[in-house]
Amino acid sequence: MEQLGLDSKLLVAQIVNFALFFYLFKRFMAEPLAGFISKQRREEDERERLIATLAEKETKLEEKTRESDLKMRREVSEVLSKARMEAEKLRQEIVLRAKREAEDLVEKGKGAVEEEREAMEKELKKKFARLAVSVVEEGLKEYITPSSKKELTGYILKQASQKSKFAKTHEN
Amino acid sequence: MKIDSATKNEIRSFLKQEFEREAEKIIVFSPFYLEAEEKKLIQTIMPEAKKRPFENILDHGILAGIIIKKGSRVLDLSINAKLKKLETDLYETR
Repeated sequence: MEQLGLDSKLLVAQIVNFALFFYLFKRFMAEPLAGFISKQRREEDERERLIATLAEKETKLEEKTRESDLKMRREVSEVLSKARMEAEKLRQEIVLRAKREAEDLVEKGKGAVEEEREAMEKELKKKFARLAVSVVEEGLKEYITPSSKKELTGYILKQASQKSKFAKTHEN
Repeated sequence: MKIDSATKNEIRSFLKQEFEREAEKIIVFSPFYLEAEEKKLIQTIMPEAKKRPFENILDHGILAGIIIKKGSRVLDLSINAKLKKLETDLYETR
């Protein structure tokens, strides 16, 4: 052993040292270290699990966002198309109402024109009658002499007195 | 101005008499002064004219015929009335 360069005493001491160290390590450090390592491993697993859960949640959230986005777009387009339809309906109603009002105005106008025409006709008739009678009156004024006036008056009185006698006879 | 009741009653009865006299009064409007024959015919038409004489007023506006007025009643026997009626008939025919 000495030829190999090994010291037996040192070797034994080293082996005893190593055994002691091993024993002490096994007794006092191996377990806590193993616990620590397993804890670390557990924590690592936990983290990975959490990451997976988060990724899943993120995916779900993305999907939900996409869905709600689609839904919102669909609703918006529905609302827009409804609004367009309502606006068209309203426009048609307004046009119809305006047409009806215009027709009413035309009718009223026609009625007013007709009324005015009738009034004018009446006025013309009145004036014509007045004119005709005035002409006759003027003619008579020119034509009737004092003697014909007396004659006419006498005739009128006779006629009136005969009528009054007839009326009295009927009364009796 | 205060008026005593006796004067008031006198005025009242006087006005009443005047009003009754006016109501009974007969006025004949003619284009010329009427003669006896014409007055007789008027008495036939209106017997009240026999009881009291009537007033004859000239009206040159009357073409021919007469207008008799008693109180508020008027009997128009003139040609002017006939012409007026003719005017109304002409105007009212369609």
